[in-house]
Amino acid sequence: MSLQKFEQRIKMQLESRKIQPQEETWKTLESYLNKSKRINSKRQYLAVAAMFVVVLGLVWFVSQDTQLVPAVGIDAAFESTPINEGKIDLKNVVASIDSKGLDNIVPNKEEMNIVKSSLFVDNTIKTNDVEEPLAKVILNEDIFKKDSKIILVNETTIETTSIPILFQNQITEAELVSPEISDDDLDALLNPYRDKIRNYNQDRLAVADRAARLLKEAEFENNQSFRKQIIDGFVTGIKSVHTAYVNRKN
Amino acid sequence: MKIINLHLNNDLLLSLVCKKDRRAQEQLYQLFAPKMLSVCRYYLKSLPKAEEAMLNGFLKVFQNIESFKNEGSFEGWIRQIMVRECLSMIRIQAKLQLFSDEKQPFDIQKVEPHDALEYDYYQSLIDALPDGYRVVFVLYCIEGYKHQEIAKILNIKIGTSKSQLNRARQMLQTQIKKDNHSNYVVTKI
Repeated sequence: MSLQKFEQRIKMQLESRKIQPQEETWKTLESYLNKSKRINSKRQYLAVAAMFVVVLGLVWFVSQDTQLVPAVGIDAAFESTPINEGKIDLKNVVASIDSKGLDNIVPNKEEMNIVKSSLFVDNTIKTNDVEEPLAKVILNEDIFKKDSKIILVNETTIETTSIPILFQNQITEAELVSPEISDDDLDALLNPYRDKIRNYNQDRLAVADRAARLLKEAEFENNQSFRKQIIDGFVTGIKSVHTAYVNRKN
Repeated sequence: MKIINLHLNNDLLLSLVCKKDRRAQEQLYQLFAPKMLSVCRYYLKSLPKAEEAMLNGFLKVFQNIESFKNEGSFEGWIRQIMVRECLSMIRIQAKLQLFSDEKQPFDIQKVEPHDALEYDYYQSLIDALPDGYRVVFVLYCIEGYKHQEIAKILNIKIGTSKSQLNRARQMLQTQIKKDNHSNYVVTKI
């Protein structure tokens, strides 16, 4: 018999053989299968629980984001210069509102109403037929972008840049009526504005201080809140993992 | 209770097994277990070990049944899993010495050629081979793998596979001659 034939014979003989396993083998296999099924379902539950925690965390995080920091309305005079020049760009904000509309700038109805009521209060002083929006929205842009939290400051008096123009106009009008203007006339003309300027300066300093303080507080609160959210998220995650691990171990 | 016809066609049986139907799983097991135990026995000398490998193999079959894509024969797929399981078991036992050229004693089992069934005799011859020789011999001669495939499966060189096979053949020839069993004499190597 050649080697090839011998090997073929071995193959044929061995391939024709069947060995019946013990009866308990299936039971053992069945128990393994049950165990693996239990482990799989346990994993599924854990996965669902983990997803639930994540979704809950996300919902909470998002809801935190849209919460409104109580708007601060300051009924006092305010200059056109931003309180915090590094962070507030009033022109941009007004331009954004003009181009995109309030609804796209302010995320929720409550905030929108506040802004609307502030912006469109008719407390303007007409100077050279130019109507200035007197209600100023003071926004911390960083906060606005992150959390849509805003601070509003209402301006109810005149612009500093408007005073000289207004004054100049009145002098011109007076000169037209009477070409010779006495010092007394000028004093009489100036006095109401002197008072206004004095009051205005006093008010604006007070308002600036107050607004700066409020901004700082809001920033601090915002930072704290954000940090807390992150830390809480981590803690919740770690707790979930720990619980899953302990469950698995058990 | 769900009753499954013993002569269910394979596709239906497979679809039920895919759905983790326990009765279908049992039927599939009953259908293939004797053959697969025999396959495991080629590689593992002891029957309990072969049974253990077969059990692990079936566990993998049931857990990964979805990965069978109906491209080849189902039996071939199961068989492949069993072979890999046996090889894995041999590796775990750290008895596989594929890289060793050291000759091992040819310790044949107590199956006498004249009173044993033919396949028992052949099994005893294969059992007597060292693990490395036996694995290569079975993979090549019985499973029909090529040296390249064996080298890949066992992570060895093709030359090693060839030399292992050659040595296995020599040892078998020697043993058969020694047994002086006229029916199985190898006349040419």
